[in-house]
Amino acid sequence: MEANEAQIALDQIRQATEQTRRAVARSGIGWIFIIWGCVWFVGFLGSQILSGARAGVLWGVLDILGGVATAMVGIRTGRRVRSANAWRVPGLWLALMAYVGLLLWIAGPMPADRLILFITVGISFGFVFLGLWLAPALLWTGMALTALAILGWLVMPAYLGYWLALLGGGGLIGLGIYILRAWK
Amino acid sequence: MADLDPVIHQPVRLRIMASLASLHETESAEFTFLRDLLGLTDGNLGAHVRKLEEEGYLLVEKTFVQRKPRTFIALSDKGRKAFKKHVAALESILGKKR
Repeated sequence: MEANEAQIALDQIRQATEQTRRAVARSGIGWIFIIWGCVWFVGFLGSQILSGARAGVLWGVLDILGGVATAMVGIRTGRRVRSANAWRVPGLWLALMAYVGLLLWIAGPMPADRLILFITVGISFGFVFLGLWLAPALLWTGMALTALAILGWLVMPAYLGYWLALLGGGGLIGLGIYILRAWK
Repeated sequence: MADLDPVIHQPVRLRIMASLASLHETESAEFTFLRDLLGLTDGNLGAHVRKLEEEGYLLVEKTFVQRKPRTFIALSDKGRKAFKKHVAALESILGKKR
């Protein structure tokens, strides 16, 4: 075989690989980013504006809605690409939420800004974990969210809810739209 | 001389193998997803999938999802190893080293 034929074959492999990864990602990850971006946007605005108890109820409702929407996206994606490990992803999030709740209980009462930071860093860790396991895009997203949360807390702790709603929630929505539009 | 696999080297089968190799080892692709992705007809994809399955490179599972018949296709361990070997052979022709 000539070198140019080998190059053509390798180019075909690269194209097929990219097409597949993008098709899988487009059908799932983009929408999941948008869903959780909306949850973050509304949730953190609520944390900033509402009282502690009302914000807690809002977060509970948003988490349930986000979980249902994510499951629907997962079912839709599963019709195209099926994974034997599919149950591990929701399992990881449930375990993470349980452990964050447990750590919050152990830590006891804390100021609102520290509470928001604690939850955000916990969720970001979930993205980092999934990124290391499944898709690098989630790793970078988790690291960026962690950095944004800590920066916002250090620079403007009184407005951390607004900061995370705009940059965290808005960033996730923007990233989701970018994936849906660009990965065609 | 590079050790190219004649079964995988056929262009359509090469793309099928590349597409499935890009999935996680625990994942499998639905037949129509693969068909649309690679721009093939049912008959064309079916024929190449059968050839690769006969070679032991693919695992094909027919099942029902919400009462509709679905066919899921995945690379076997043998197929994954053969594909890696084929890619290494192609790269060796170009003098690439990874």
